[in-house]
Amino acid sequence: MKKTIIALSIIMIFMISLCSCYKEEFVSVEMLKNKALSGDEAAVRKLIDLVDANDIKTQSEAYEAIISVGAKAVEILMDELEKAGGEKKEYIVAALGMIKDKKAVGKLVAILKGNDKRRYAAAFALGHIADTKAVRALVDALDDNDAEVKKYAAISLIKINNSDTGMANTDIIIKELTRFFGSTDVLDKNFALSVAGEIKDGRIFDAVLKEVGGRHKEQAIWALGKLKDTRAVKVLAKELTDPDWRIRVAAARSLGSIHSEDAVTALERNLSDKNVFVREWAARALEDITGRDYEYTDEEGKAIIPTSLYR
Amino acid sequence: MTKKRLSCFIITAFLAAALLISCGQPTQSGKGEAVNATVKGAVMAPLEKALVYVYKAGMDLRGPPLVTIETAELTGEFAVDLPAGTYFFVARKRVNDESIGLIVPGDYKSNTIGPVEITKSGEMILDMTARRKIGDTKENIASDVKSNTSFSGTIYDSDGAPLAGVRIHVYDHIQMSERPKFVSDKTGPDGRYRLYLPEGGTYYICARDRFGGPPKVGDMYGRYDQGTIDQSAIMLKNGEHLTDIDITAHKVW
Repeated sequence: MKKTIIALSIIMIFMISLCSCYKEEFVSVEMLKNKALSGDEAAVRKLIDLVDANDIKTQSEAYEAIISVGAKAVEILMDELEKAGGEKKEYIVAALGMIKDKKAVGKLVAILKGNDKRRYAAAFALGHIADTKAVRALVDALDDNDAEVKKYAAISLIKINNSDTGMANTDIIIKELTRFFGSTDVLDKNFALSVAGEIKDGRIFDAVLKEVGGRHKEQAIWALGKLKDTRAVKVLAKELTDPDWRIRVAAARSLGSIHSEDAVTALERNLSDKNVFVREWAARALEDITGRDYEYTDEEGKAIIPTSLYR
Repeated sequence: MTKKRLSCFIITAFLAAALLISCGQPTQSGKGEAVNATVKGAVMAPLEKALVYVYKAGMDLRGPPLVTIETAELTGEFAVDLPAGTYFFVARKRVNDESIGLIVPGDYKSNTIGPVEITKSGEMILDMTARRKIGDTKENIASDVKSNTSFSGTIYDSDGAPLAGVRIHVYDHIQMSERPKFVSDKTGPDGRYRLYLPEGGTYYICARDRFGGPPKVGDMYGRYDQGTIDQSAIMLKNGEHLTDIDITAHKVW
């Protein structure tokens, strides 16, 4: 009997203490944000923990709260970055980007150069911070083996270029891109060609033109159109007869962008191309250049004007 | 103290402890307890100003509903708060804009979804596909129209794993804004999709888990691009099927 009483008492005590463990203190993201804004480091760390929460709503709210805390969160974010992994790390990296504090550049570049699966977030963040110290690493990342890393590196380089109203950032990017295009080790130049086209600086023209004869022909043709350099017209007109219909479409699109009347005759020939998309894009390009509507023959044999692809 | 009294005391204390523990547990809905869950979703694809009819179990599914909700313009989204219970949902849109009457050719109607059990507070997502009635047959307005023009592929997450629960949104313009022209069914565990189109043309596509509006923080989102930063167009001819139109989606920050 005595033993039974003791055993039951122990169980009771255990269960009561278990009960008290369930009574977690309810803390809202809003409360934590306010505390964090007034300098409470523990609140910042708690918000960072919450980006790893199970529900998307809490994750998103915590993430946005950290961004609104801003510079006060940067040192703590960088500290937490050392220990974090997976999605939490991704959020921390993205938050550092959105806060735009240049103190984080060094760490983000290190992540970009490393093997972390989510290093595309670092590429994204570096574009938001827009510090030219990251340009070389971003240009190198244009040849990363992860397509998302390449894409965000390209987007970030364009952001860095556009963040400066002067030429200083463009000069640095052109220099690094020229090095990149001249390298024999590079496997993928597609994203570099995207960047070259978007920064619209004639100094990169020759490097892009050279790629028309290489593996990245379609993207090089696209970049020439973006550069809007009339020196490309003759080369692009020649590509209107390429055996690959995609190249013929790309050439037509780019000639439309460049707006040179010298391309009109060649484009008019493509109105009777065997491929419907080539005909369609020839008509679009002609409209872009001349301002007049051009008809092309659709798949059913009807003469129609191309629909607009813009809203 | 007698043995009997001691035993009673211990049993009572035991029961008291058990009661205290149940105070720390998540609330269970029971009879008489006010539980409100929000059921929200969209009527595809998307069907604006449709009506979502909510019936409680036991009601005539063709008769007056418990509540009717109109779907939002442009997005086809709806939301309704419901107490604990068992429900059935159906979406209808009559071209004469009436809320009652027979479904005739030209009207839209979804299958009846249910029984849907609401037992606790929170949110529940419920998307529906409404089909247009054509004579005695149904025509899907969603993207699974069985035409012979289609494209397919796999949606991946940022770890390279197939992503379930996302849809392909198809646009006929570069900006991919406003309402998509077509929307696929949600991907399953293999991340695969196939989307049928009524005709060929030039399309721009993205993958997302939430339907409607610009992507928000926390959403899964990815655009189709062929190794470039611009969204790539899909160009397919009538009767053509394109494969390997793959997209990587990740969380929007």
